[in-house]
Amino acid sequence: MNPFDLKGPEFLVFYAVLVVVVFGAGWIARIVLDPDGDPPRISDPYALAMLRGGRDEAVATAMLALAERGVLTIEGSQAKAVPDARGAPGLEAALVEQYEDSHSTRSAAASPRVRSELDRMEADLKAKGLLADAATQKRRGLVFLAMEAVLLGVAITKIVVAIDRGRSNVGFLFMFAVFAGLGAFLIPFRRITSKGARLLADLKTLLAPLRKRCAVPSAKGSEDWSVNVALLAAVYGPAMLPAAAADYRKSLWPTQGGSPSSGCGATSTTSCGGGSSCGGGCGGGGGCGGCGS
Amino acid sequence: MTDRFGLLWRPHHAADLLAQLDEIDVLEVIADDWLGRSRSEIRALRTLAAQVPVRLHGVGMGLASTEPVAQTRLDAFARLVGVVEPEAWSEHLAFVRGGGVEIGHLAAPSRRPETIDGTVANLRRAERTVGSRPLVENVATLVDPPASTMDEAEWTSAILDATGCRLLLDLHNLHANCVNFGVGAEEFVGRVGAASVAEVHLAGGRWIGPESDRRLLDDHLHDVPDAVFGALRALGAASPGPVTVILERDDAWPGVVPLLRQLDRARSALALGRATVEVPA
Amino acid sequence: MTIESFLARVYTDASLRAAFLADPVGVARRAGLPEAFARHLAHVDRVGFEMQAESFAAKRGGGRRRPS
Repeated sequence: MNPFDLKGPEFLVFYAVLVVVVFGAGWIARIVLDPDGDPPRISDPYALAMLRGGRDEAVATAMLALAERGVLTIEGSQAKAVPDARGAPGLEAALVEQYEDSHSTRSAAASPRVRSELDRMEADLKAKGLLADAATQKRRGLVFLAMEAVLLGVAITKIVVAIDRGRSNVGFLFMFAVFAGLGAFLIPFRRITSKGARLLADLKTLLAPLRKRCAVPSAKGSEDWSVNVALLAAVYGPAMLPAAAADYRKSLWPTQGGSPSSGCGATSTTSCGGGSSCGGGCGGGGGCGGCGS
Repeated sequence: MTDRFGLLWRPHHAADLLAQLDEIDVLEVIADDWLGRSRSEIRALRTLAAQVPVRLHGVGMGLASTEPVAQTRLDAFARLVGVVEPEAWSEHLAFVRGGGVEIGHLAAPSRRPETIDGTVANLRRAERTVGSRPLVENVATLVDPPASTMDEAEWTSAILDATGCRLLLDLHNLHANCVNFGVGAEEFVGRVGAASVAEVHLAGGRWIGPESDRRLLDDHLHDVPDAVFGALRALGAASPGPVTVILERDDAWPGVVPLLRQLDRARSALALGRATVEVPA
Repeated sequence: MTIESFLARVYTDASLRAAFLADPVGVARRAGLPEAFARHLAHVDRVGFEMQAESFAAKRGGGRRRPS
């Protein structure tokens, strides 16, 4: 049966099914054509933040870590490095330099040194196949073109056939095809690759017990605290920050409100524990403690 | 290949550990935390294993028993190993259940010919199912295993010889058994053979019980004592090949940096032991 | 009854354990264990056995995942 002979409503149903099939095929093609293999090690939380949410997220997460470490003071929308402040080489050092004098928390992007560090991090993520590089985008472009060729080609053909047969009620199909064509753009063109998405998803699995902890990972103000908070913010976003780190949420993520995550309370002292034990002494927790005793 | 040093993976200290992966040669993961989980969740462990060498450590098989380990349990472990592809897996020379009753922890088996036979049979079946041979770990015990007719060194050696398995030597478990029952640590290693040791566990514990009969409990909640570092140095002098050393800390988490300092001390102890080995003229 | 089945019961059942520590050979014989095994229980480490059982109970009652 020739689908172009279908009457209007019946053809619209056919076209809707076609859109679903083409979107599905495009989605699968993007995954297949993306870099494959196990994700590489990324231990820099700011790189993970960039992977999840882009350059602004990397900057916000780094500023959060610096603030939690007492290197930056943030009051309202202004940030300033404390005297003799030092940050780790890379993005932190660039931010400390940027905030030698008080500036808006939104001004970091204007710093050439910060931009240079972000460029370096982005290039590294692309080199590791976690963000889509030029070659990946080119492959995705071909997928996009193929999708458009099918979606628009079928729609245009039907419109021509309908007009040729004296039909003029092609407006709905026209709009449907326009939206489908625009929607197709979203399928192949994600900034993150399948490998990058997998890394973030797997980190969320590995860090899930941290979210469930009732106590803070370590005393607020210690070096461990800022590292933990940075990683949580990087992987989950500001919504999952412990309450004790929520002070800077509005300043650093002004468009993301909401109350702190209930995952980790600053005041609870009970350990949620988790994990098996091949021993373990008193209290919660798991692991392999006390093998045999 | 050289000696390597690592830590036990603790899920609620994951951020600490991930932040210091560059300082850790290998991570040991409690396998039982992942059995029965979805494939997508286990994939996360595979991702971890792609970033740092991972060794799977089982606690629930109960291999040292005259009762056969359930095949479903072995199959589940095999599935986990298949997805994660760890560099090695290990279990304990202990039983954890009997007659359907779960003890809830690792129990030292009676050291008798029957338990040797049962353990060997279980280990061979585990190896066939999982597709690779496990390391087997000595356990600490607060009780002199009842009705034993041989000592730990003889019992352990018989199992290693019959199965070809190598030993995961938990030095704190050995230390605890030494102070609790008068077993000589170096004698134990000499009799099982230092060459059989592929991996070492370090941990800490605390004293419990009445004043008249206090015993050392291996609880993994305390720092590694000096005696265990001393035993590691002695092992360094005796052991011909490289070993993987894992520091086990379950909780009472001091932060990853103090644990890395203890690993540094282990590194020094092992190196010192190796340096004392005389080179033949 | 296997060795492990017997020991698992004694470790986890306080009243059975009390009876066992009072008369280890008798309890083992009545449980149907081989004489060669039961006989060796005469010198069971009573203090250690009770400590070990308490340690196991603490692990079972601690709420963390147990071998199952």
